[in-house]
Amino acid sequence: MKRVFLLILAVLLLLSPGLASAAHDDIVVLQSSGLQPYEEALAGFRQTWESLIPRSGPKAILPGPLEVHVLSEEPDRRQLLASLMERQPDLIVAIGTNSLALVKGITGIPVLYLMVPYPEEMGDKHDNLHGIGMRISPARQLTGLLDVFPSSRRLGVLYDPGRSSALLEEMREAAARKQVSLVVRSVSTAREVPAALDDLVGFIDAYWMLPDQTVVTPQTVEAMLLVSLEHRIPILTFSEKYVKLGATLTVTFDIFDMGRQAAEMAGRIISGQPVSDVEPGKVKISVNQKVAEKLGVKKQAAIGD
Amino acid sequence: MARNAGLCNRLRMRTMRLTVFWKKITNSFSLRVFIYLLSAAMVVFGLFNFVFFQYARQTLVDDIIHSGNLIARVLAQTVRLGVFAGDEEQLASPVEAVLSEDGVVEACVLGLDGAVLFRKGRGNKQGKPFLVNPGAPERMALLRQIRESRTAQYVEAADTYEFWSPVLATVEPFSVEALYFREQNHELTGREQVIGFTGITMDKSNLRRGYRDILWRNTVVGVAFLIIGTLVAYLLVQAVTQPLNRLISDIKARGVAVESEDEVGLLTNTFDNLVKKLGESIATINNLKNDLEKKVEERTGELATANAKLADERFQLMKTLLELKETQGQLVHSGKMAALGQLVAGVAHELNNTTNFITSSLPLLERQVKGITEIYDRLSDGAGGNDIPAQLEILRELTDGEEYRKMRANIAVLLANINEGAGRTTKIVRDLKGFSRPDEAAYSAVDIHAGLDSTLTLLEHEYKHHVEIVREYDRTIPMVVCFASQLNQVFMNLLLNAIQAIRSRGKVRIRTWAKAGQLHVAIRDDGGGIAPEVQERIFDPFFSTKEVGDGTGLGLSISYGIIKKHHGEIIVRSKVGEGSEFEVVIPMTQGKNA
Repeated sequence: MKRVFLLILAVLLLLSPGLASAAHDDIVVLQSSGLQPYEEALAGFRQTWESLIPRSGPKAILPGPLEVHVLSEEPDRRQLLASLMERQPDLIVAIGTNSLALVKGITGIPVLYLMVPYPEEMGDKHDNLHGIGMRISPARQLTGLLDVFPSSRRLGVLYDPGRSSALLEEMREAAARKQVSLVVRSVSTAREVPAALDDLVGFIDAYWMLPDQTVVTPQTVEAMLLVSLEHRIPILTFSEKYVKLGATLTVTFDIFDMGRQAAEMAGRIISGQPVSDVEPGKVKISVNQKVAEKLGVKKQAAIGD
Repeated sequence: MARNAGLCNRLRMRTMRLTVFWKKITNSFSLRVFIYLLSAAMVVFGLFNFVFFQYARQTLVDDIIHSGNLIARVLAQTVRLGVFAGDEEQLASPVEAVLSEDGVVEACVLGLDGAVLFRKGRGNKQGKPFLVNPGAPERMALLRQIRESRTAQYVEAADTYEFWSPVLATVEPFSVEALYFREQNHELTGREQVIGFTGITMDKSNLRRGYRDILWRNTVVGVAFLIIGTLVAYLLVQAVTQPLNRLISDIKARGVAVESEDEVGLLTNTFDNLVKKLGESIATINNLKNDLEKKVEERTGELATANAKLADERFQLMKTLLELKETQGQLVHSGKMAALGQLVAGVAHELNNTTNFITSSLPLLERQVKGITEIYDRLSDGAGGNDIPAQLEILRELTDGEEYRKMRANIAVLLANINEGAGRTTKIVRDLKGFSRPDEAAYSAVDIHAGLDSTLTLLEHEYKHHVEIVREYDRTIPMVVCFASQLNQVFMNLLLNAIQAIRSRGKVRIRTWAKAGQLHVAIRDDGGGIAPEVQERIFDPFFSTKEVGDGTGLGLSISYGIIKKHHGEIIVRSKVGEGSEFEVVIPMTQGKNA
C-alpha cells in the first residue's frame, strides 16, 4: 500500500515540471548582489516582462517564475555556470558587472546585460551579447544642467587622461554646442585632486564630475563637496549617490526604466527579433534641494528629486 | 620628691576616674549600643570613602583618557583631507579647535613617516614641545603599532598623557560599481588605509585638581555625616532602648535581684529565670497532666468496672424482679390457693354438715317409709280382702296407732331436715358460685353486700359458735365497679382475721357506707387488738402472728395488693385489748382510673 502511494507520488513529481512547463520561456536572471539598484532594475524588468506575455488566446504562454540567482550568495559560481550551459535556457539576464563577467564567455545562449558601467571592458563581444549601458551622454547631461541652472556657463572638469580622454572629447563637443566653456585640469593620482580643485576655484560656475576612477575616490569626493560648499560651486554629477552625499544635481539613468527596457529587449530576443545595444532610454534628474539652497544657486524650476 | 608624689597621685586619680567612667560606659547597654553603632558607622563611612575615592580617581583618569582618545580621533577625522592633500592650511583650524579644549596643551599632525605636518601648543616647563621627537625609537615603535592595529593608543608620562590616533582614508579608488552606487558592503569600497597620525597632549593638572576636589568634598561630607550620624544614632538608640529601659524598670519594680548594672545582663538573668521557672512549671504541669491522665484512666477503668457490675446487678435485679414477679404471682396464686384451701375446708365442713343432715336423716326416713310401705304391702297383700271397709279398718288401725303418729312426725321431721340440708347445700353452692367468680379481666358492677354475705356464709362454720356478726349495711349504696372475686377474697381475709382474733366470745361488726364517691367497708372485731409495732408489719408478706404452719401470712398482703389495684386503701385502727378495725376504702367506680 505504501509502495503504491510512493509510486504515484513519484510519477506526479516527475510529471509536474512538465505540466508546469507547458510552453513557457526559460529565463535565468543573474544578479551580482543584493544591492538596491540591482533590485530596482530587477523589479522594473519583472513588471514589464509579466505584462509582455500573452496570457490567453492561441499563443498563450504561462508566465514562468523568473529564476533569479544572486551571485554574492551563490556558493559555487562555476557550478552555476556549468548548470546553465547544460540547461541552455532561452535567455540569461545579467544584472551587474560580476554577473556579466560570469557569463560573458557563453555562446549559443542569448545574454542580456544591464547595470554594467563599462561593458566594453569585459573583453571580446560576442554576437549573443546585448545590453543597456549606463552612460548618459554629455550632451544630455549638459541639457539637464542648463535646464536647472541656466547661469552655469563655465564648467570645471578634472580628468585622468589615461582613463577619460574620449569622454572628455565628447564633453567638449557638447559644451561647444551649448556655448559653455570647460575649464579642464588633468590629474594622474587622486592626491592631486584637492589641489587641482583649488585651482579651479574662482574660474568656474559649476563643477562637472565625470565617472573617472582616478578622480572620484572617497577622499576626493569629500574634497569636492567641501569646495562646493565653501565656494558655492554646484556640482553636476553622474550618479544619485553623490547627490545624496551633497552634490547639487545629477542627470542620470532611471534604473527602473532600464529594467523595463531590458524586459522589452528580452521579449524581442526571445521572439527572435534582432536587438542592439542601447543607451538608457529615460533620463532622471535629481537635485539636492537643501544643498542648492545653501549654495544660493538660482534654480530654474522644480524638476523633481 | 613631693612633687613627683603629687603628680603620681593626680595621675592615679585621673586614671581612677577614667576607669569609673569607662566602667559606666561599658555597663550601660544603650551607651554601648550607641558607641558601637557610631563606630561601625564611622568605619563603614571611612571604608566607603576610601573605596569611593579610589573609584572617583579611577573615573577621573578614565575620563581624561576617554576624552583624550576622543579628541585625538576626532582630530584625525577632521584632518583627513588635509593630510590626504598634504595641505597645511587645512590642518590649522582643526588643530586650533582642539587646543581650545580644556586640558589639551599640544596637538600635532604627523605624516605616515612620522614627519610633522603641523604642530601647535605650549611646551613643557622647559619650553620644549612634548610631542616632537619624530626619530625617537619609542615614538616610531608606537606609530608602527598604531598603523598596524589602526586603533588609537595613549601613553602616560609623568605630567602628561599623550593620545595618538591614526588618520584613515580610503586611498584606493572606487570599484566600478561603487563609483555609481552607494556602498553596502566592503566589496564595493576599498579598505581604509593609514595616511598619517594625530597626537595630542593633555596634562595632568586637571587630574590633580580633580583629586583635590574629591578629597575636599569627601571630607566635608564626612564631617557632616559624622555630626548627623551621631545625632541620628543617639536618637535611634534612645528610641530603640526606650522599651528596653521600660522593661528593665518594670523588672526592677518587681523586685528581681539585680546582679549587674548592665541592662543586658539583667535582662538575660531575668529571661533565664523565666525560662527556668517556665520549664519547671511546664514540667509540673506535665506531671499533673500525667497523673491526671492516670487517674482519669483509673477512674474510667473503675467506672467501667462499676458500670459492668451495675449492668450485671441490673441484670440480676431484672432477673430477681422477674423471679419476684413470678414468685408474687405464685404467692398470689398460693395465697389464693391457701384462701381457697381455707375456703374449701370451710365449704367442705359446711357441706359435710349439711349432707350430714341429709345422710343422718335418710336411714330414719328409710325406716319410716318402710313402716308405711309395710302397711301398704299388707294391704296390697290382701289383708281385709276386697272389703273396702275392712281395708279401711286395717288402714285406720295402722294409722291410728301411736306408732303411726310417731312415724308421721318423724317423717315430717326428717323431710324437714333433708330440706334444710338441701337448702343449705344449695345456699352454700350458690354462695360459692357467687364467691369464686373466675378471674376477671375486667371490672364489673356488683352488689357489695351480696358479696359480703356470701363470704360470711362460707365462713359460717368458723364463727357460728363463738362470734356474733352484726351487719350495719347501708342499703342505698349502688353497685360498685370492681374485681368482684378479688374483693370477696379481701373480705374473706379480713373477716377471717376478725373472727380468728376473737378467742372466746365476741362480736364482728361490718359497716358499709359511701362518701364522696368512695365505698367504705369497715370490719371491726373486739378481739385482742394489734400492737403498734405489729401494725406496721401486718401487710408484709409472710408476716403472721399465728403459729408456724397456721396460715401463710400472705392474706393481708394480698388483700393490700388487691385494694391497691382498685386504687383504694386499707386503714387499720387497733388498740391492744380493745380490738381492731380494718376499713377498706375504694372508689365506687374505677372509671378512668381503671
